Amino acid sequence: MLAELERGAADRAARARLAPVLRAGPWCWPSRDHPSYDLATAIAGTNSAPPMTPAAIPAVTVEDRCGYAWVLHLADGPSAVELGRETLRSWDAASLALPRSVPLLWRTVDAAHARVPRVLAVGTHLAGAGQAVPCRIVQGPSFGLAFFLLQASRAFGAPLPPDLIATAAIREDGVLEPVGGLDVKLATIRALLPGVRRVLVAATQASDPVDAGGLEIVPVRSASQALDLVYGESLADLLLQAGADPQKRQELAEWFFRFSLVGRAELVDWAPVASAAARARSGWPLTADQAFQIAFAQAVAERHEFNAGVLPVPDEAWLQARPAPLRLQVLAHLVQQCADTGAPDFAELAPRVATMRVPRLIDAQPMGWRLEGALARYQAVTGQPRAAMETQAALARLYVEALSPADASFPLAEWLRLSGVLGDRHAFANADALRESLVPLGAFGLAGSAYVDLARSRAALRLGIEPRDAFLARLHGLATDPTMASHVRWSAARAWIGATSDETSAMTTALAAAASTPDHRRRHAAAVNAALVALDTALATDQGDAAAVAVAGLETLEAGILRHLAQACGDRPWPAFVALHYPY
Amino acid sequence: MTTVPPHDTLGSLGIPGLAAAETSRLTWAASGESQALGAAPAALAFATLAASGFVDVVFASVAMPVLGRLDAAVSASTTRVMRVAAPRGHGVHVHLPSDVRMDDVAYVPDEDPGTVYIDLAAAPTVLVRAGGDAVVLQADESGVAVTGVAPRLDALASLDVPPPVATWLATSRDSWLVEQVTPLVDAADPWSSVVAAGMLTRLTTPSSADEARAWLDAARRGTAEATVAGPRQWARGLTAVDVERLQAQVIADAAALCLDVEDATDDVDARADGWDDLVREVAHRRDDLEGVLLLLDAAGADAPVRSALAVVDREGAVLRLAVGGAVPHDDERLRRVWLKDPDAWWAHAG
Repeated sequence: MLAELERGAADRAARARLAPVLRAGPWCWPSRDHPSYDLATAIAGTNSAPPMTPAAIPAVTVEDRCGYAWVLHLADGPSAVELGRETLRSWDAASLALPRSVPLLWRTVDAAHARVPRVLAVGTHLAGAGQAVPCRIVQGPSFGLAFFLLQASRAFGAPLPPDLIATAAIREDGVLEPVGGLDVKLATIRALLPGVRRVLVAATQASDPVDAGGLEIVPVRSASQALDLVYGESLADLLLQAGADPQKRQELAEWFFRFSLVGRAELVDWAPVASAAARARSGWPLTADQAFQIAFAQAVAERHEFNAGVLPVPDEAWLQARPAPLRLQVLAHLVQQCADTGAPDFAELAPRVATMRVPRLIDAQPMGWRLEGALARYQAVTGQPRAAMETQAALARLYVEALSPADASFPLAEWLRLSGVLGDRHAFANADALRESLVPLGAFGLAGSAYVDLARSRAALRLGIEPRDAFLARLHGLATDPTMASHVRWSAARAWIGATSDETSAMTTALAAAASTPDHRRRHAAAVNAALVALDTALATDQGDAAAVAVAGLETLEAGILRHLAQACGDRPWPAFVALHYPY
Repeated sequence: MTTVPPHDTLGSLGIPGLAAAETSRLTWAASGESQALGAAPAALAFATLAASGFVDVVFASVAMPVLGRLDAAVSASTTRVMRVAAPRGHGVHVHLPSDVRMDDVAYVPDEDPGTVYIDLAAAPTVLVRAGGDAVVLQADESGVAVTGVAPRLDALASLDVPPPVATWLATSRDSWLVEQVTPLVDAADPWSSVVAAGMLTRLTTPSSADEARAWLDAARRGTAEATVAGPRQWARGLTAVDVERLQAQVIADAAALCLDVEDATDDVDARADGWDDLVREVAHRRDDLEGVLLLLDAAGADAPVRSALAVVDREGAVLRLAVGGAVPHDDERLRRVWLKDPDAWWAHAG
């Protein structure tokens, strides 16, 4: 508790400092039965602790063993400290992460981002002997998640929970990263912010050996997960309210559609998009066009997250009224959806695909290449893995030649994966040579690098390429990185367990735990890979019945892909075929 | 850096009997970090800052074991002000050299009497205390040395010639006094014996007019009543070493008593539970020392012990004002004190 409230007295200077803090929110207030509650009301000039208002959140910083507690807000008034350059970069990163993390925005982020936040000084707490250094400039990235929530709160006009504080750095893509001095920060929260009970930290920091001391440490891997945790269903309710306005509804439907076409790399977490789209479809009165757009977004999101979803096929007139690049992109999504879920039927798509393709890849536009990539994915699960690999190899080289190396990561990942499936060391060597030429450029981005590394490591281990330990280590790194997309993470876990035959490892335990998470949306990828681990184990130990059970389990999770594989399997042993050709 | 402040430092503050413990150093808050609005504090005098309640003056909070439960913060070197706050339920007390006026260098906000701002530029050596925590602050260019101080715990170990109090008691006809002194004799430690001797010297009272006349006659003949004269005669025979030991013990007890009298005043102000018992206790302890002083006077001791009690009596006068007429005169010891020494502050405490 604040020293003045602890002592039961506050002089004029303390009152001048604490009055705005106590008026801003309930975080510093003692409980109502505390002897100093009346002192707090006298200082604040209110009858009771104020309710939460939008766009206000407490935050903490650390200098050595001294913790500083602050209140960040967007209202008028002076700021106790300046924000340093790195801290302002976090403010900008938070504003970029917001539209990438929220299912959709019905208010502009600009208004929330335009004003640099004001900072109220709550106080300092020394976690040990020493003396505080008066803080004039706040430096560092640890306000990142607090900034993000502050802007979200402002954008939605929705107050944050009163018992919450956040201390995590944020990247523009919404991934959260650890911060320093967590133990001092927790001590500062306990000392100065008695109303705070939950502390959001980056998932990668959850295992830090710190004394929580009664606080609940809540690990979150992404900004969107933080929003889900903070607002839950209430955000969807706000979305539904926003859709009551016809013009806004039209904008949002367009937003859903465009957003779904952006691509996997743009988002860490598609589950909120799927959830919001489902709610919008059931809660809004939609035109046919709007219904298609939102259904399309929902299906794309569900495919990205769970390899599920039913993508509506637009009628020909709708498609022809769109620009060619958009048509190509929609078709690419449809083909990809067909490959991953079995629907729509490829026969239904084939005539339209035929009209959009050009004879030579080199003459196609980038959107055309995306369609070719989707077709190759379809080929890979329908018995034409070599043709698929050759297409992906050609696409990877084309992207590089077209000075778009970042886009090469996805075909390159497939090229590497299929070289392993086909046992083709020569193809692996060619793909790896291209990869090595691109690595110095840092061209893949974080998401693309993860896909390439996963596919390369899996293929190398399958092909017996050295250094085996390095490939295992990379898989282990991917599998234990809580910021990684779940399908990448658990696929890496499967490959690592299979290569090490270590079914008693912590990795196996983690995979099993993730596979039994109550939220079916969040457990899908882990459940699929747990089934694949069971399949791998059964095959390695020659347990036919167990292999059949594992495949049956997988069929309930990935019916579309397994239907494709079943048709391609022919008279080859079915469980082994699934284990080899399952693409994720 | 660890230093023990010299005895002179505590002496200049009027409490030479306290024991100094560990010293910790803190530096003035880094300059140029001001969050101040308006004029820079560096340009303003302490009185001006006090008038504005030190609003917008930057303080750096301090945590060090030597402070105990005191809440402290330090300003920049341009102002050299230290803020000290007492824990809940305690008053804060400041001791300054006798030539420094409290109002010139210390500001206690009306709205928070448990906090004091001290101008260490004007008064570089100060003792601040609240409850059981007391520190001496010694400021210099770079910062402040903070030394914990506390009453001495070591009691008088021995005397070359202990007072034969039991012998004197055997001749006493003052049953009340015998009852009061006997437990001290039974305690069988040197200091209790000396206090008992002092009480006999100071508090023995004839029980009747006849007894009073008998005492006068004996005095004229040069054969004083043994209970009264015995302790003084013993004191006159004390060795120089014993006199020094007794002086040291009086000075130590005076320091402890000074702090307790301050606390008693706080309790009286707050009408805390048991405040009247506490007041009587400190009054009796003050009278214990007065009795010992009579013996030291008889021994021809110098003035230092009297000056050590000056601060106690200054605080005692405050306590007397706080008590006012609130305590009924039902305490026989203090009644006797009042008869002999009606101006003594402790005579009015019970």
